[in-house]
Order: sequence, then structure tokens, then C-alpha cells
Amino acid sequence: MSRRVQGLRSWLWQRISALYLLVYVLFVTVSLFFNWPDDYDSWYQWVTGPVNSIALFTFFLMLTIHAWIGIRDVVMDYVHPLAVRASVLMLVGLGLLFCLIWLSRVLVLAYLR
Amino acid sequence: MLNRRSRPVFLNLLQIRFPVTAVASILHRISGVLMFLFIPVSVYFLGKSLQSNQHFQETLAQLGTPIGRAVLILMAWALLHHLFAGIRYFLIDLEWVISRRGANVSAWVVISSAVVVVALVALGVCT
Repeated sequence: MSRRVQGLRSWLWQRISALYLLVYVLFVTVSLFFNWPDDYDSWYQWVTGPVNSIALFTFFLMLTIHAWIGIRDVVMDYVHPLAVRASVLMLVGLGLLFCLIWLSRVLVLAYLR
Repeated sequence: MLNRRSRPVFLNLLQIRFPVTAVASILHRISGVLMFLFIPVSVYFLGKSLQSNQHFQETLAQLGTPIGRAVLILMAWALLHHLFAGIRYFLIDLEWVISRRGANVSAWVVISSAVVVVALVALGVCT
């Protein structure tokens, strides 16, 4: 379990991000339940509203951190050859980073419309 | 300590009896990996739905196909199981459910409530 001691910071971040993800999912569920966007305009307004878009970006930022720690732990449990493990981890990290930048682009483009 | 290699290893997946806590745990991992794979798909559809009214309607149509619905229901299950199991781990961290009975009962509650809530949501959406 020595990795756990080394990974105390990861352990903490996993829980901090989890709390944000939990609160965000509850917020979105309640928000959509009371104000279901059934056409393009209301959907656009909902996503690009100041509070919602910041909360959405923060959600993806926290999701990136949470997914990185989680997938890294799974990879380290099942992929043992060092070269393969390093390659898989690099692909996962680059993929997550790509998705975060892509999401930022989506939000910026939506704002500029 | 004995040589690691001399320890008995028994990994026949068909014969190992998994306690319910182990099932909840492995489903936590599987649901997490599924949602990880779904991240690019969700960014794609979010971006598409925001482009224009026509793109928005296309997105709704694509998500409404049988495959779209099946994937969304699977992801709803993954989210709920991961979320419920995550709350259970929080409670374990806070040392609220550390008895063996508490761990078993809470694992059953997590697994079944995720399935039940998804079934109710799927029924509600499809009818």
C-alpha cells in the first residue's frame, strides 16, 4: 500500500473533485427538472448563462482530474510492463487534455455566436 | 516473509465466489471506465447541439435512435452506480459503515438502487 501513502494528494483530489461532480449533477438534475429546455433557444440560453457556463467548465475541469486519477489507478493495477504502462498513461492524459481543450473551444464558440 | 512465488494463487474467475462488496467495487471501476470513454462523445454532442437550431434537432434525433437510447441508458446506470458507490466510499472514509454487515447491506443498496432508478427513468422517458 506504499503507493497510497505516496498518493495521498491524489486521494484527496479524487474526493474534492468527486464532491464537486456530485453537487453539479444534483444542481443540473434539479435545474433541468424545473426548466426543461425543449427548443434550441432555451437550450442555448441554459448552457451559455454566466453561472451555468462557469459551472459547466469547472465540471469538466474536475472531471478531467477525477478521471485522470481513476483511470491511472486502473491502468497501474492491470498494465504491468513499464513501457506499455507509460504509453497507455500518456495516451489517456493526452486524450483527457484534448477533450478539455475541445470543450473550452465549444464554449467559446457558443459565446461568440 | 515467504517467497512471493510460493504463495498459492487461485484466480479462476468462474469458481471464485465474489462477495457483494467486491461486485459493487468492480462495478464502480467498470462504470468509471465507461464514463471516461463517453467524455469525447459528450463533448461532441454538446458542441453539435449548440451550433444551430438544425444541429440541435439533428442531435436530438441521433440521441433518440435505439442505439442512442441504449447508450444513454447505459451511461445513466454508470453515472448512478458510480455516484451511489462513491457516496458509500465517502461514508466508509468517515467510518460510518465499517461493520461487515453494514458494508454488505450498503453494497446491496448501491447496486440495486442504481438499477431501480435507471429502470424508472428509462420507463419515464420512453412512455
